[in-house]
Amino acid sequence: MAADLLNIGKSGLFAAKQSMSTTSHNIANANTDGFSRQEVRTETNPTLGEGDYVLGTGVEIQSIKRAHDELVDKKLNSSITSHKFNEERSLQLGNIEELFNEVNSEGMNKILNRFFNSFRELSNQPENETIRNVVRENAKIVIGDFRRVQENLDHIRATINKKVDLSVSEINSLAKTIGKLNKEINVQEVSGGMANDLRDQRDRAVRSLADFFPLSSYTDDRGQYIVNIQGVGSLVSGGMVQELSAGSVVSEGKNSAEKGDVEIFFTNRPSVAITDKLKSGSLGGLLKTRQEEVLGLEKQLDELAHGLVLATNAIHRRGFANHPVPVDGQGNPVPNAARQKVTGINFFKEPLDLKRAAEYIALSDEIEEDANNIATAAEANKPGDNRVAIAISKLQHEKVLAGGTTTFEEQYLKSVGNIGLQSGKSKIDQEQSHGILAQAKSLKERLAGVSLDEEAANMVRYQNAYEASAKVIRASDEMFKAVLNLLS
Amino acid sequence: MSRVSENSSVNSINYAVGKTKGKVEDLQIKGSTLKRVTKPSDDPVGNVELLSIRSQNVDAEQYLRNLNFAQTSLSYSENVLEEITDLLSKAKELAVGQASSIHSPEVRQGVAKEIHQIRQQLLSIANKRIGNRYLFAGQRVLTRPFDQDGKYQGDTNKINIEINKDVFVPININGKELFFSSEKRQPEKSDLDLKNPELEVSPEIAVLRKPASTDPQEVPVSIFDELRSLENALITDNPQVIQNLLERMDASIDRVVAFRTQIGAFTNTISNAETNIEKIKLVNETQKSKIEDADVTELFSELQKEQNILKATYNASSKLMNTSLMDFLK
Repeated sequence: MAADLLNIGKSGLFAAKQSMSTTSHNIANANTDGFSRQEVRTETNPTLGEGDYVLGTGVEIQSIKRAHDELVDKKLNSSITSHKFNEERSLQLGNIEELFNEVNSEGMNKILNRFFNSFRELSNQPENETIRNVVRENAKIVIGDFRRVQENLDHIRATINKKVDLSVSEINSLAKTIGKLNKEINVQEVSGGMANDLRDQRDRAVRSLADFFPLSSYTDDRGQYIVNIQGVGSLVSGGMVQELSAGSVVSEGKNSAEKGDVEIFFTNRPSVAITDKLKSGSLGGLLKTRQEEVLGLEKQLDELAHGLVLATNAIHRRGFANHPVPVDGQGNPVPNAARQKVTGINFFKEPLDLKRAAEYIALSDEIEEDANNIATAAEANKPGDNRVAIAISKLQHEKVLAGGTTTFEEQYLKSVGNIGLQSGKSKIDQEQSHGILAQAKSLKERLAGVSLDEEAANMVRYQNAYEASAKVIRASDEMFKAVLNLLS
Repeated sequence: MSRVSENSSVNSINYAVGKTKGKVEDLQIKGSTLKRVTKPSDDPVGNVELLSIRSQNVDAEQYLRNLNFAQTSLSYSENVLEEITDLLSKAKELAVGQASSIHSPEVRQGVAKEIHQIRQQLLSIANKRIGNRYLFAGQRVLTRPFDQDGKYQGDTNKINIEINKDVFVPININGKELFFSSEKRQPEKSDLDLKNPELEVSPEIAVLRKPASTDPQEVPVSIFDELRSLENALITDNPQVIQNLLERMDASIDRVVAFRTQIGAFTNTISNAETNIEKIKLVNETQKSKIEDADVTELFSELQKEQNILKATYNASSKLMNTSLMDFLK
């Protein structure tokens, strides 16, 4: 009986010590990212039947469990994914928006406007060479601004492509980590028990993966842990990893991205791009911005530049430059007698393709050479004739673009308005998803995080249990001694 | 009872502080610029309106410059017309004095010299320039409009200036219509045809295309011819011719005066346009300020409020972070 007492004391001592060490582990890892607090689960030892009684034989450690809830983790992962999407969108759109920010500085709208107004000024004194030079300078500024916006959009596109590329290598390294952890967890758990710390590490890696794209994870019936890219397929299944690649796709199928744009695909299936299927996460945010805003703005900008060149040239060609033309006896100009071309001159260089018009827009050689080649007159030898200059300045308010439905300014303002709206919306979305993420995080931390207060209380509890168990052993020792003393 | 872990309370502190600090920062930027809109996304619709108001203002500035240019040209022309009227009146007075046959040929010789002088003066006035532009040369502004014989070298085109959106005024009177009698307007030779299938042109430009008329013109007589005839009549002592010339000279003076009246009318148009532009500018300024300027009182009370919230968050956080059960287990 006393031997039992000693054993019971010993089991209590052991359980208390183990609990104490788990508590210490919790405290030590209070600030470890992704750590879930652990708890020693104990149960009573098998009982002994003794006559009419059933006797308890002490305590045994059943398991060490981590505080974990699959659903809470899933919610956290999906909040991370959608927050990262909004965060990335808002960052990229903020960059784009800055290109069109004219609130405190000069922008394309003002510059275009000044271009037309310089023709209006020229219409006052078409023979004035200074004003002709001003017109040419303003045209150069317009060209420069088209290029500025175009170059910056290119830069943003390049940055996005670079980021996609880096994300893919990060995804691969995370996927490999998960695959490796899957194997290790299987090995550790073969003998029963839970590989708590490794599982925490795996959860953390999956959570990092959730930054990039929407994912789902589950354990299949053979105990394999699987991570899926939603709507695409499995990235990790057990110890197997499907690597992703980023680069250009050589495929017979349609390719929605611009030339030079990075596409994402599984390394072992290089002809099938999955780029379009990534709708959320930071990758989703990057790709949506690239496909919608950057591409759309480039197109609108090209249309604007192209329209400006065609419309200006169409009128300009009909005008006469500021050069004298020899006349015959009746005062009519002699054809082909002039030393240089006086009419039919282009203001901007043609031909100009619609594609990347904003990049290739330039002054024609004639205008570049001599500002007197700017055509202002509707008739030859009339330096005071301002009708063509007026006609060009009136283009400012003409509905020239989009099949004669919008003016240059309307078209430009539509683009700016749209980018402002999208950027504003992404900021609000980001704020909202940040709130949701904070909530999901706090849910997770409340469940799995370490509370030092709780651990302190537990420490006292287990310390007391340890002391009490030690006293039980001493008591049983004394009881033994009492019996031994009887005999002596 | 919900559990609170170390990380959950740190997270919530971070979130609360971050959110409030973000708001304070945003308000501070607005406070330092006193602008409500500092980037398009602050107010996408307002931003677009702002940009279009700005273009209107740039346009308005240009129209004001055009308007001043037109005004200057017209005032200058008006002064010149006044000089011409004075000279012509003087010539007419002299002619009236010599219309009867009471004067001796010697006197007439003297008067003839005077008329010659007037004709010379008139010629130099007719070749007046603003800057390097000849006033009465039509659109051939760099060509001297009248030679010594009073032969016209310019053209009969008007120079129109846009002084407000779609409002044009002519700023010149060409030498032909001013100095030549009963001159029906000649059709302008080759008016700009801007008809272009890919380009719809507004009506103001379309107005520039005038239907051509090919009426036979009666031979115009210039004021210079009249004065030369007068001079010759005086020299040859021919009161009958002088008498006949009087009527023509009256017609010439009337014509010059009529142009002066016309200039007055244009000046009116110009000052009306100016008033309109200034009005639009004022309305635009108000609207612009409404969109982009921050309400200072609201802004700073909001800033104060957010700063108080931030302080309160700090206070609460410091209390939460500095207490632990550990402190009480000694």
